[in-house]
Amino acid sequence: MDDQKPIPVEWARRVCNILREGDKNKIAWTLRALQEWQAATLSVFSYEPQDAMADALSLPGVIGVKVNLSEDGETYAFFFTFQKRIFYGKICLRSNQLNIKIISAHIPRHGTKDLS
Amino acid sequence: MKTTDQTIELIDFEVLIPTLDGTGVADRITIQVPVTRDPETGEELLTPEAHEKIEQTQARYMGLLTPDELKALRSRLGLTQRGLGELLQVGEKSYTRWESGRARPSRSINVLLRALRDCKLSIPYLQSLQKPVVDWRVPAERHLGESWQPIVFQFNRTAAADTTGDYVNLTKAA
Repeated sequence: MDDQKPIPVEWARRVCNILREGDKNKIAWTLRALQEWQAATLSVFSYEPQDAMADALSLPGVIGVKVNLSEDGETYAFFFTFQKRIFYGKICLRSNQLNIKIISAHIPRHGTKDLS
Repeated sequence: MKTTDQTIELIDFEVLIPTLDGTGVADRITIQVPVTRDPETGEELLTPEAHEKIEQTQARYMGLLTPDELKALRSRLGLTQRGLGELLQVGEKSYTRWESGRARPSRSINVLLRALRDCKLSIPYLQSLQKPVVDWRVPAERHLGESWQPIVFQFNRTAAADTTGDYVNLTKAA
C-alpha cells in the first residue's frame, strides 16, 4: 500500500501515553470494536489490547495509514501484536489531544500487509 | 469524554466466558450496559461504567478475584502490596496493577490467590518457596544436617599480591 508510511511521532507519543495511562474516561471504545476484540480473543479486559497497541505505537518508525473520517481528530490504522497474533487497530486522537476513540481492534480482514 | 451531557442508553452486551483452556466459549452471558452515541458518527460508545460491568461479569464467571477481594485478602493477611507481590513471586508492580484494577491476574495465579483466600495455603509455606530449591551441599554435608557449618575463608590481600608462590594463602575465619 502506497499510503502506508511512518505514523507521526507526536501522534504516536500522545496516543501511547493515553493508552498506557489506561484512564477509561479518556479512552472511548466503540461497541463494535470491543465486540470484535472479544470475538477474536475471548477477552473483554480492555487493558490487554490497549497495552498491546501502546507497545506497537512505541516502536520507532511504526507504520500506519491515515484514515480520513468525519471525526473530530486525526485517525491512523496500524497493526499490533497480541499473544503472537497480528491485529488491526484504528484509533482517533481527538483534537483536544487528551482523548482517544478506539474504532477497531480485530483480526486483519485484508491480510497482514494491507492496512486499508 | 463528554458523557454527562449526552443521553445514556442501555443496550444488551453478550459477554463470552472462555473455557478453562481458553480455546472455546463455555458460556454466554447477556447483560445491559450503558452507552452514549458519538455526536458525529452516531456510533455506540461504551461508557467507563459499561467497561466495568463487562469486565466484572467475565471476571466473576471465570472465578477471578476482583480488586476489592484482593484488597480484603491482603488486609486479612496483614501484608503490604510489595509483601504479597514477593510472596507470589510476581513483584510489587504486577500485584499493584491487579489491586487497582489496571490488570487482572492470570488464571493460574488466580488459583493460588483463591487457595490463599480459602486458607488452603499458608504464608510460611509460600515463604519457604522463596528459598533456593537447589541444595548445593555435597551428600556428606547434607548427611550432617543442621550440625554442618560452612568453612569460611578470609581473602588475604597481601598474600594474593605475592605472585611468587604457587598458591594464595587463605586464612580460616574465626
